[in-house]
Amino acid sequence: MKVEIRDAICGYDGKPVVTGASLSIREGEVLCLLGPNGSGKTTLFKSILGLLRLQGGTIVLDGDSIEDWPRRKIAHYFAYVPQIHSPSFPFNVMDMVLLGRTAHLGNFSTPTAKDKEIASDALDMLGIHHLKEKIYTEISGGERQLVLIARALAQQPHFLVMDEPTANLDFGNQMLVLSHVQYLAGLDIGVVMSSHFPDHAFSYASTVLLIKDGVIFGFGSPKEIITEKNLKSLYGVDVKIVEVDVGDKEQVLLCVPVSSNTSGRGEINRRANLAQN
Amino acid sequence: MKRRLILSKRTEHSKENSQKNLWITLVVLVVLGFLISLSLGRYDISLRQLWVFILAKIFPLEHNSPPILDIVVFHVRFPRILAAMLVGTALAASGAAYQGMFQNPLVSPNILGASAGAGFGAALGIYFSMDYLLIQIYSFVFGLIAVLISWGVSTKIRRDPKLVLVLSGILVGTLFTSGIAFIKYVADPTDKLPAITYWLMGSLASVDMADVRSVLIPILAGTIFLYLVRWRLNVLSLGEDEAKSLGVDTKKIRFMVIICATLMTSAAVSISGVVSWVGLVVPHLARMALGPNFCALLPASILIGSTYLLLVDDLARMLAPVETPLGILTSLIGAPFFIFLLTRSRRGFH
Repeated sequence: MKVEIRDAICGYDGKPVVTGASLSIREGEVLCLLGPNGSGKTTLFKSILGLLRLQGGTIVLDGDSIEDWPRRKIAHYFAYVPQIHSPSFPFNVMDMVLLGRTAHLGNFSTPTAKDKEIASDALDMLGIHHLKEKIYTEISGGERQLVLIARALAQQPHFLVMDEPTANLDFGNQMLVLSHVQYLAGLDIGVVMSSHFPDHAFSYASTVLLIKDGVIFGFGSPKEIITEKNLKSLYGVDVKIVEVDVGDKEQVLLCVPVSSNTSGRGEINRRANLAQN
Repeated sequence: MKRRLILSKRTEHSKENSQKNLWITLVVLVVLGFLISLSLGRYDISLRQLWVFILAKIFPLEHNSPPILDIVVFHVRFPRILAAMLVGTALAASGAAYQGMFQNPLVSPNILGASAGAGFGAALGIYFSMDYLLIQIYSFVFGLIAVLISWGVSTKIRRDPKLVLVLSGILVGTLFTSGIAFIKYVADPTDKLPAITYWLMGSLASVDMADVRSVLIPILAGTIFLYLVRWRLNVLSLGEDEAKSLGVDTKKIRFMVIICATLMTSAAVSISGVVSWVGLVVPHLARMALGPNFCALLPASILIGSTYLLLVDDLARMLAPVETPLGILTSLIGAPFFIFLLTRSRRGFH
C-alpha cells in the first residue's frame, strides 16, 4: 500500500503554509521530516490526516483520492500520535488505549471484550502492560508517548503519523521510542514522523524529507539527502557528517556541529564577545 | 511470575468489587433520598407509616392510614420529588456533557450562559402569559442561542481556550441576565413581577404533576441520547484533532450533544427556575468517585445529581418556617465548592 501526496497546498483559512508538496510513503517505511520550527511540518501532517482541507493538489492511497473519505474510513488507514499532552480529564491508561478502537465501533456502541483484548495486546507490544491501571496524567512523559503509540496501534492502521515523537523526552526515552518506531515499521506499518535530530533520521529512517518555509527541498534516502550543504541551508548551522564504528563492522553516520564565524557556536561566541565589550 | 499474576488478578478483582459497592451505594442513596423526602415535611409522616401506606396502595391490605396521607404523599410531595430528581438529572447530565464536549472541567449550564439564556426565554414567556409548551420552547431556543454565542466567541480568540470559554460564557450570561432585568422592569408589579422574580430564584414549591409531565420527555430523551453516545463523549474530550483522527465526525456529534444538553437544561429551568452550580459540582463529584470515563460518569452524575437535588430541596422545605428558594441553597453549597476546585486542580490548567 502506498500513499502519494501530489502538489499539495496546505494551510489555514486560505493562507497557504506549505506549497507544492509532493512525497510518497509505503507500508513498512519510515519517513522522517526534518525542518526548522515553523517550517510547516505539523501543517503537512494535519493535511495528510484530513484535519486540514487541501487547498490544492491531492492525496492518493493506492490510486484512490482520500480527500472526501469519511472520518471513520480515514481512521482505518491513518492513525495520529500527537505530541505528549495533558488531556483535560484523568483517563486511565487502558481507557486511553481503548479510545484507539473508536473507528471500529458503531456510533452508539462501547468497546467489547475483543476490543479490550486488542488494546491489551497493544500495551504488551510496547512493553507497558504494567501501566494498564495507571492514570494517564500521572505517568512520565516517556510513558505517555508509549501509551499514545499503543492507542494508535489499537486503531490497527496502515500508516502512523507521529508529530515529534521524541520531543520533551530524555535521551533514554528518545531511543526507546525510536526503537519502537523501527519495530512498527517491521510490522509493515508506514511511519511518517518529524524530528529535530538529523541523527535520528540516519539511524531509523528509510526516507528523509527536508522542508523549509513550506517548501520541500529534499526527498530521498538519508545518505543522499542529509548532507553538510543541505543542513547548512536548512538550519543555518555548519555541520560535519562523520562515520563512527560501533563494532561488528557496523557504522553509523552522525552530524556534528562545527564552529564557524557566521553561525552555530561561532555566532554564540561572537555575541558573548559583544556582550563583554 | 505466577504469583504476580494471581496478585494482579486479585487487585483487579478487589477494584471491581469496590466499584460495585460504590454503585450500590449510589443507588441506595437515591432510594433513601426518595423515601426520606416523602416522609419529611410540615405534615409529619414516619417511615413506618409511609411503608404501611405504600404497601397498602400496592396490595389490597387492611390499614388505618389517615386519608390526608393520600393527598400529602401523592399530590403534594410526589410531584415535587419527581421534579427534583428530574431537574437534578438534567443539570448534572448536561453539565457532564458540556464539560466533556468542551474539554473543560470548569464549564456548566450556568457558566456557559445556557441557564441565563433559558431563564430569559422563560421570563419572556411568563411576561406574555404563554402556555407551558411555548415557555419551554422559548427557554430552549434562547438557551441554545446563549451556548452557541459563548462557544462562537471563544473559538474566535486563539489563546487559552479553557479560560476564554468560561469568560465568554460569563459575558453571555450577563447579557441575558440584564435582558431578564429589563423584562422584570417592564413587567406588571402586582402579578407578573413576583412570579418572574420568585421563579428565577429557583424553586420547586409550586410544581405539580402537569409540570413534571411536560418536562419528562425532553429530559429523558436528552439523557438517553447522551447515554447512547457516551463513548463518543470520551473521544470528544480529547480535543478536535485527536477526536477526528480517531475516526469521529466531530461536527455532527458536537452539534447533537449541544442540542441535547441545552434541551435538558432549558427543560429544567422551565419548571424550577435558575438552579445554579448543580451542573458543575455534581460531575466533579462523580468523576472523583468513578473516574472520567463517560460510560460510568454519566450514570453516576445522574444518580448523584438526583440525590443531591432531592436533599437540597428537602433543606429548602425544612430549613425555615418559610420556604427557602432552592437556587439560593445550591449556590451557597456550589460556590465554595468551585473555589475548592480552583485551588485544588492547579495541574489541570494549562
